[in-house]
Amino acid sequence: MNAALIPADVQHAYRLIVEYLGTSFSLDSLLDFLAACRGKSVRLEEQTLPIGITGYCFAFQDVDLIVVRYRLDPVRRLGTCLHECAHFFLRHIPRTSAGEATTTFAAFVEQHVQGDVDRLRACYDEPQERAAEMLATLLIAHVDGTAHHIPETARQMYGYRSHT
Amino acid sequence: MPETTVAELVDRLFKTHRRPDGREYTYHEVADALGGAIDSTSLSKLRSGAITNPGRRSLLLLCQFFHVPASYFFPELDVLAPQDTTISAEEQLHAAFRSMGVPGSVQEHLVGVAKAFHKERESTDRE
Repeated sequence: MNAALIPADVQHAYRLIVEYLGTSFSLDSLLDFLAACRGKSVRLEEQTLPIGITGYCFAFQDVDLIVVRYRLDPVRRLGTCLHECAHFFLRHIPRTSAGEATTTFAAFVEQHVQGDVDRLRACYDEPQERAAEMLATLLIAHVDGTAHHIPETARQMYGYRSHT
Repeated sequence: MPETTVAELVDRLFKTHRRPDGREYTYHEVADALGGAIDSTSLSKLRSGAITNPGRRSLLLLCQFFHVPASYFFPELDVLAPQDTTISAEEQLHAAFRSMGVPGSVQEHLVGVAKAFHKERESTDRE
């Protein structure tokens, strides 16, 4: 990836993540770091999602939720998870997604407050989507154990390069 | 002005982020909740200032436990902390239209209509 084309906020976030986690880290470590940065728990779930959507994220009062499509192949699952993490790291998601009306995660589960999630799922601007994808692409090569699982086509898709 | 020490920051965390019953968390409670990643003795030393230069990991774990952004200890991480901004009504409308696949130019038009309608209703309510 041409560094000159990467927005400054993406580069800055990437540098900080690698500075704090090192050049090789697990997805769990990244999620823990995200939780620490935002001061909230992070929950990763798999759900059956409509066609065309591989994942979304939502900031509840007490939990930042990342949802990836149920039974995605491991590489796309990781890529999707990193993409949603990137939205949080790049501050595309405020402290709570729906302001004061945002429920807790428990209330969401109890009441099935799906409306808010549906409404906000597609609310990111195109530049934000591109920025999140850039950061995800930069991070994917740092996640432990990915090298053995990434087929050639996926390597090309994500511009994978080894850091070993 | 003297710089705030790590011990002071840790002490402030314990004092201001209490259990629901108002009592301070004990070192054992914090250590247990963190799965033993930090032991209670280290927490005590950290708070008293006996450990002056703890690893980043310990402080990040404390942030996770007390639900404070990591920028509390590491100001440079403020750029990764969530902002309090919320999505405006106009942005929410755009989001709803986008999720329905409404083209951008039509979105602008519909949001304009909604704003005009809202303005009209506000002036009617005032009368």
